[in-house]
Amino acid sequence: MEEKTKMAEEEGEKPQTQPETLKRIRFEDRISSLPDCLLIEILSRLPSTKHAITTTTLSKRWQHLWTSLHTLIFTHHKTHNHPQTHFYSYVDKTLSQCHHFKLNKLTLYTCYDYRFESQVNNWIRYAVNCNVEELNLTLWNVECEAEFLLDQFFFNCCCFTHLKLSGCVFNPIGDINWSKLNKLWISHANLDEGLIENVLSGSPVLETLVLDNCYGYRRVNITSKSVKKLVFSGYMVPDNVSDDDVANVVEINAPGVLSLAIHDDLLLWKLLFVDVSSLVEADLDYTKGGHYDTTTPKEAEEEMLKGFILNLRHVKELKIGIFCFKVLCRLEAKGFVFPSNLKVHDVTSSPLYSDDDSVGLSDWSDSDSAESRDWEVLLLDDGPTGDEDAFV
Amino acid sequence: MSFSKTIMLRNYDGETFVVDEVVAVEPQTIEHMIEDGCANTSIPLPNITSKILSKVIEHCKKHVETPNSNEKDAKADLKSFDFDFVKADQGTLFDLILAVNYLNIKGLLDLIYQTIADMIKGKTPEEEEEMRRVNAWVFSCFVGVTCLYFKSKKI
Repeated sequence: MEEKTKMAEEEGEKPQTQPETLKRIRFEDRISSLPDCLLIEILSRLPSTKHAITTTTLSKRWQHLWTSLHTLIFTHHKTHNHPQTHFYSYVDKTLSQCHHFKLNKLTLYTCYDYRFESQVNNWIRYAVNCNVEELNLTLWNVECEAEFLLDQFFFNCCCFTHLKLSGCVFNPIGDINWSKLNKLWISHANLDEGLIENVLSGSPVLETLVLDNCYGYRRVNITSKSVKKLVFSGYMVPDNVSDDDVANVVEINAPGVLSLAIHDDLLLWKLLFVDVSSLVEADLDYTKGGHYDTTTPKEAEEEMLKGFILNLRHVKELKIGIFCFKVLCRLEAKGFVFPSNLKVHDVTSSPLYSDDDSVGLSDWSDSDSAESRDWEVLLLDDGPTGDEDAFV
Repeated sequence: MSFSKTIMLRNYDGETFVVDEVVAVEPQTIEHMIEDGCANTSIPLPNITSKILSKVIEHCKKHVETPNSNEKDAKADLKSFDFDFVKADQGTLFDLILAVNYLNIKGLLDLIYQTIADMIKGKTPEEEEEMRRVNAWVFSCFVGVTCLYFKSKKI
């Protein structure tokens, strides 16, 4: 056996497993020699808490490290095979082992129904008790309707700096108090003007507001001096509303906002600007659905885009994305003269671009490509590796 | 005509490195030393080797010299620089992390932490399978093991 190996080596072949194993052992030795505080920083950057827990197999020294992670990420993307109770039990078990004084971030991404309401509220309470700064909750269901009712204590947490809330129901009794909140992203929620007002007045240092596929409100009124960036990403219509009722007109009044983005699918008749006089940059990359009045869908699209362009002439830089680009081409063909602040994203690299769209591209194409969102949310897929099976 | 102020760093091997002040203050530890008035002759960094210190200076220089803008090109350039920077061999990476932790350079620390985390995660399929097999046992015994561990430590 040994002779065979020697002969193989002489012929220039290496035994394949040995160097890899040695490398791994060396790696584990070196990493284990780092002090606890550095290891915790490293483990906190693994894609999910589950990955961090698996390091307990490395050695006895690692067994308690993961319980001090400053970031907790629990994701469950699967809707088949595994009953959700399995995932919720796993998170319960995990949190019961943790002893944090301070938590920087908690991310929870899972399918949800009302059975798990008290569990989720308990987890949030744990995080808030650890003064969590960034909380990302995505509690989705197949109908895309918000179902998780946020507990009242949630509206009085002064530790939040970044909140992303998807699939949550907001029903605050009294004034909201999010005194340190800097970025707020609300997704798939039923909002009204009173609630938006409550949120804004309770968040005195809020700089970025993202309304992602929310509905119910007719006006976004931002008079707060702190908010600098508004992202209007889609306007939804719940399933129980008939098509005839979708004659929504939404107004944006944001005299102090510097940056505006309009994205995603707008199921709206009209989106009007009451006051956006401070805007420096704007980004239009949306599709229009919804009500069409007496016009055809294409005419309605053109009317909306034309309205935006004319009302945003004062903006230093007005960027147009691929979805609006097609409408832009039609406007140009009809003789519309575009203002000089218009810039088109690098649409040729988009899979939606076709050669028919190339008319007039050279006039205002710009080498800047797609928008750089400075909003990063760590929502990670544990992948179809069957990892969830491990925690039976 | 103005010239930028320079700072002298003296390291473990006795070598001195002369760097522009604007680069030298990237590490918060050095910034605080300068503020406290300890930088009259040279700043001592006895626990850092020449090899590591020159790598750190290289990184600080690049980030200071790249304009802090939202320009796509500048961002892509930095990203590509960072990517190449951490392709170093394992040994350097672990020496780097200790030095950068001491010097307190947040951006570079984040980069190295993330790189090592990716190395932990990026196992071969065989190792993943082994890990999975072990995990199924580990988690179910987890509570028991933790209790025993703490018991043995008399906690």
